[in-house]
Amino acid sequence: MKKLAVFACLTLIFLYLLVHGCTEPQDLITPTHFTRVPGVLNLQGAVGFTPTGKRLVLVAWEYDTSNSNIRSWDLTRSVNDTSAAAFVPLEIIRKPASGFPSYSDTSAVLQGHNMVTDSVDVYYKIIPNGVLNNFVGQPSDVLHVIVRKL
Amino acid sequence: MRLNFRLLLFLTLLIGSTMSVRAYGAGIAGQDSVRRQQPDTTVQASAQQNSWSERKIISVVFSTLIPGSGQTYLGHTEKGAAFTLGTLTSGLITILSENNIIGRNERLDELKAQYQVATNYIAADTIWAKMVSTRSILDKDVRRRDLFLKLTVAFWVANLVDILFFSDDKGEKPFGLLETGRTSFALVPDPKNGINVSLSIRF
Repeated sequence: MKKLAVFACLTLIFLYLLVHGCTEPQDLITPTHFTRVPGVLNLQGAVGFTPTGKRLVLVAWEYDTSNSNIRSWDLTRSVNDTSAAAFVPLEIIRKPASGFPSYSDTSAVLQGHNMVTDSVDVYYKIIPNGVLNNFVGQPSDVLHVIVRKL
Repeated sequence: MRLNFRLLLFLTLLIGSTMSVRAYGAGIAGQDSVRRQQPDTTVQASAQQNSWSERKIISVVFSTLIPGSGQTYLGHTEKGAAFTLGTLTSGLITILSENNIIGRNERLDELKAQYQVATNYIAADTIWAKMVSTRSILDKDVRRRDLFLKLTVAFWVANLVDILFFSDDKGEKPFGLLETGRTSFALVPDPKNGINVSLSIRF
């Protein structure tokens, strides 16, 4: 009888270990990188002239103003090339005190007398930079602007 | 909740089997005196007369610890091997899946740490994609482990039910018995001399 009791106890311990020894899978954390820095919204570009007659491309965008974790935006540009490596930093635009940011591009490459072809394809991409930990946010979609030779 | 249910099921089955074993023990206590008065015949005949013998109890203990071993002990070698192989195979897959779960949990921990210190969106998004992928594989591992754990338990329970109700004692056979048309080979334990090896060849 004593042997049977020992046997039953051992089996109970074995079964307890078997059932409770199973590892529970870990849950995923809540992703924060999507909203850590406000994304670039409504990225738009327009071709025009400065008061002095130079060609300019006005790039403007919006962002979620309820998210204050934004310090500046890196404006990158590529000319006649859509590959990711062709985008070079053009300007750092600080967060404006009010309203939404914009940038006027009056580079020499846009001026008609520098153009070899009839038009030039200019691509812009905006990269937001956060305040907390200098987190670099999600790059915007590529904005394609065609500047024609006059 | 699921684990508690499994534990409850285990306990119910275990208590049932333990009570049955105790019933065997009680039956033996009452029948021992009867058996002592009878002349000592072959083990085979004794097994047929008394299904709740000491061998039966030992076989129940064996089958509880190693499924199928009790059946083999009682002489049902094929059935015993099937239970043992089935339980061991499903148990092995359960253990491997459990091992995978532990490994992937550690991988998730590592990815979480990397995610927390990521300084840009692209790196964080890459790590996040890896976390989602790892979690997806982890879920498959969990499903596989649960399935084969249930299968292992099912084998174990079926093995217990079989040894308790459907396996009669075929009698003691010499260990290692090998019988062909002309030859027989056996290892017979001898309390005085250790093990006797028996080889017979008929011409």
